[in-house]
Amino acid sequence: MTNETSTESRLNEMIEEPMTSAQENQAEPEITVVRPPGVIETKNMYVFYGDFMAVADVSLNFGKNEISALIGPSGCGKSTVLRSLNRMNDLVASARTEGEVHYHGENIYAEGVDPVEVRRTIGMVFQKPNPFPKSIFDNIAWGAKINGFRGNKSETEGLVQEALEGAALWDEVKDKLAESGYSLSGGQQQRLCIARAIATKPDVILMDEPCSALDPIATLRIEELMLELKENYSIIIVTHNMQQAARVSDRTAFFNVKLNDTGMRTGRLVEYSPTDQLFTSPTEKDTEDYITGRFG
Amino acid sequence: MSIEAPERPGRVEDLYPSEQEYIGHLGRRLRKAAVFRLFCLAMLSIAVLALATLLYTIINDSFGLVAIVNENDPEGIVAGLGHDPEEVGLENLEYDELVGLLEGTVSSGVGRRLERDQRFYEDRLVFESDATWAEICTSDAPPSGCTLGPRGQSDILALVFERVVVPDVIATYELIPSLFSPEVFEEEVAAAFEAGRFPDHTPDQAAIEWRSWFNPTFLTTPQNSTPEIAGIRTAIIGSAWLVVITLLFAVPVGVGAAIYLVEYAKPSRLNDFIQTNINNLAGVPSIIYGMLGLAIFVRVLEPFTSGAIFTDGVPPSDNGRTVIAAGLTLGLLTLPVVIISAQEALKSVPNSLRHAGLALGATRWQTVRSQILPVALPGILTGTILAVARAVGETAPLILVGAASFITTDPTGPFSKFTALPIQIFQWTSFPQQEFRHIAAAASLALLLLLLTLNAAAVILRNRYSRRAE
Amino acid sequence: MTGIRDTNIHFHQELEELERKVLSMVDRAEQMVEMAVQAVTSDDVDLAQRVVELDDGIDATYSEVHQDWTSLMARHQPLGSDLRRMAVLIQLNVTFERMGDQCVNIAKIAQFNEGLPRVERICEQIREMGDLVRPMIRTAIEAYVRGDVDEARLLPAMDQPVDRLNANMYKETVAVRDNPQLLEWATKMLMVSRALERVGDQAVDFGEQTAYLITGERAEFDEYGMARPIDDSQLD
Repeated sequence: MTNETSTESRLNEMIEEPMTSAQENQAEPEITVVRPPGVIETKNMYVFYGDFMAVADVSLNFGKNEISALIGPSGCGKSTVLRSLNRMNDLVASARTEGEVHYHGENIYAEGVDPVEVRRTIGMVFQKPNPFPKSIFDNIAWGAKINGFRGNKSETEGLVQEALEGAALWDEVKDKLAESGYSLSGGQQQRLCIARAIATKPDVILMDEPCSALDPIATLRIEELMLELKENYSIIIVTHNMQQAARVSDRTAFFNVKLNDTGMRTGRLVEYSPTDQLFTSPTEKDTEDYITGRFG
Repeated sequence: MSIEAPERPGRVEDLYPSEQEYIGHLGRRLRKAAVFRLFCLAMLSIAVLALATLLYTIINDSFGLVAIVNENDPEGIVAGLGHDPEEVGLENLEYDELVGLLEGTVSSGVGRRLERDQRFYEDRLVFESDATWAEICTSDAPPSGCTLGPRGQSDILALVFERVVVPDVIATYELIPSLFSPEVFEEEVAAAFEAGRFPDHTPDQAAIEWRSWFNPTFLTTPQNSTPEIAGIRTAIIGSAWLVVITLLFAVPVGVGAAIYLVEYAKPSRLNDFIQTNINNLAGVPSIIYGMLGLAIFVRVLEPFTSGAIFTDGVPPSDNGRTVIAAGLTLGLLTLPVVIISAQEALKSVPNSLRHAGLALGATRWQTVRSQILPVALPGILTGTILAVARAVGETAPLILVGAASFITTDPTGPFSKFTALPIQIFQWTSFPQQEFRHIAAAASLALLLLLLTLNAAAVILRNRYSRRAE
Repeated sequence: MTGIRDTNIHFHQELEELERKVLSMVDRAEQMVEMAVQAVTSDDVDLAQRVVELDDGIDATYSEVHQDWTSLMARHQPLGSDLRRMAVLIQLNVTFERMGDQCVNIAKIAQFNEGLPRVERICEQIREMGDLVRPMIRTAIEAYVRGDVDEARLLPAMDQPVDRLNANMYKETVAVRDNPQLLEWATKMLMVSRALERVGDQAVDFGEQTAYLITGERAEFDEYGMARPIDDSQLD
């Protein structure tokens, strides 16, 4: 009997004690970076198009040999962030970037940094496959040539083969290297674009919705390829397909559009977590609402 | 309960017509559609009719029956030289024979003048004495014969025709009447003789023969004051020179400007201003360009356009009214059009190619040169050819810049005097004689064929490259 | 954030339907506990038979839920809290089906023990266990429906008296070993006690699932309801 009483009283004590509750778990955690600096790091990056603030205060740390996914509703600025990483945003006349983007520790937006040099080592693959109207061979050799590749004919052929093998396309095109890049199917064209990008020996590959123009089988092949490429490259991918982000990425960043007081819709980083955590128990309510389909 | 006829039906679907009404509506709509279609067809027919009329007029005047009187019959001449007139024509005679004919026919004064314009032989003189020749060639103003090469076969043949055969077309007839009622023409000629219209000739001298004013000889014979033997060779060569100079100027400048405007220029007020001006210049009347050419190329830049700054001694031309001045003027004329069409061709290249190139770490120029230009080239070429085709037909600026309307020597370089096809046509149409009308029509036909060829080339090019790009 | 709009409403409706089915199982299981305890302590074989029949309902729902769950998973690929709810529901499906099976075990013992002499003390203790277990099930359902982790954390403490009574049952059985008929009866009642103890554990498990659903962390409750996070790094 005494046992039970003491247990009960202890029980009562327990109930009074403050315990970690559901609310506390979902309080505002800071997005502190405790990982070592990755291959690309953005520090308080803002991107403006004229007066319009497209993306505000983005601080992300992309890891080496990892696949990082950027997800979010349309207009949340994920593509803008991606294009800022290799200064492709410079091509838009009204675009302006503030803050810093560090690539292996160097700020690529510093004075005197030539975007041409940045883009050699940070490659990009686009949403709609865009091979050049040249032969398959020339598609890949051209990128090498303009970057000063000094190899002779057989060395160039070796480079092209290596790139095509790396993109899991070699077996399908090895007998028709002289044919036009346009003679390939959509999925093959996209793999050709990947081969073209890796031929210049980058160490980061940016992919802007690379599968959205492809059928499901081609999509899966590209996803498989990404997982292979991860060994040698760091990959950052923008996708509007949550399941794709869940399948391929190691870490996922969720962006959302926030209306500020003046009615401007600015994109902000909401959460950047390991993928399995983000998709099973995200820390932010915004993320939870987005991935369960409850958003306004 | 209020009894009120509802003005509008309750449900929105009821605002649609009923089946019956719809059928009625449909009939009306279809009839209206048919009427509009017919109207557009009628408009097309009017346009086609106008073009057909134009073509008809030109062709009609280019061929037909002529009543021709030769002072010396070609057959007689040929026989006189010992050949069989059945087998040998004047055009088959040897050069020496032809020169001999001239020698025997023209006066020495005329012969010397001809020789001073252009020699007959490289090594010997025909009319002039060696001493006199040396003297005039070393004087302050040597005639063109001193520097030009000897005359060619077709040149001599033309001279023989002009001076020895001396054909005289006394009446002409158009193509369609010639085909369908040739006897009417014969009656007219006979009636004209009876009326005493041709006091110098007798009816039996007049031969009625078929003549195509547009024939190969016409294309290879130089200009002549006698319409029967005049040709458009000088004009064609002049036009060709103009096309070349226009292209050499307008293409690099125009395409280069277009590349800068499309690929490099950032949007700004200045660039908008430049673009607007280029667009407007494309529509400026060609005579304004003529005035510009006259003022700048002919007058201000005379040392350059006459060739004076390139030669120490005598400049090729005594004033700035040369091929190069006209070519540059036409070049300026076509420049805005070339820029605009090159811009269109460049803009039609999808941006994805530019992004792909730049994303690989290429510079703008590398991307433009290797990826964008090859794709845009067919469009640029097409636009250029069409612009040049337009320039070929321009008359007003050439008149101002000084295309000679009577010049018998072919232009030998950019600093020569020249004439052009449209100028020639313009000049010939201003003469009253019937024959000039015919050769003007023949020259128009030649111009039309040239334009047709240029346009066809543009279309073929465009089709070939657009098929390749797929 | 203004106006949350559910753009995934069809899935969420189906999910709620699935949840209803699963909860209906545990509702029924609670009823069955009451009936089974009554049957085995008052020698009521008809009541026992009703318990067995009720279990058929649970088994049918179990199959349905399994099928619906698989279909929902294939068609919607849920994420976040929806995914956790799905994970929890499939576990609970099994748990409640087993609860039903335990009640059937008790009912079968009631049928088996028909006509045998009873020891009132033992029957009292069994009734007490039933009276302790049923509120546990209620509490677990309330905690789940209200999403209240604190309430779920009460469960381990509520389970302790059940465990003690179960442990005590052995002594009571041994006490009547001299009477062979009583012994037979008492041995069977020992099994009833064990079954009830298992139902109690299953109710605690229900609570742990609820805590995972709300917090996103997988943890086992210790005896005081404190979450002990499961250390995955020790696995494989």
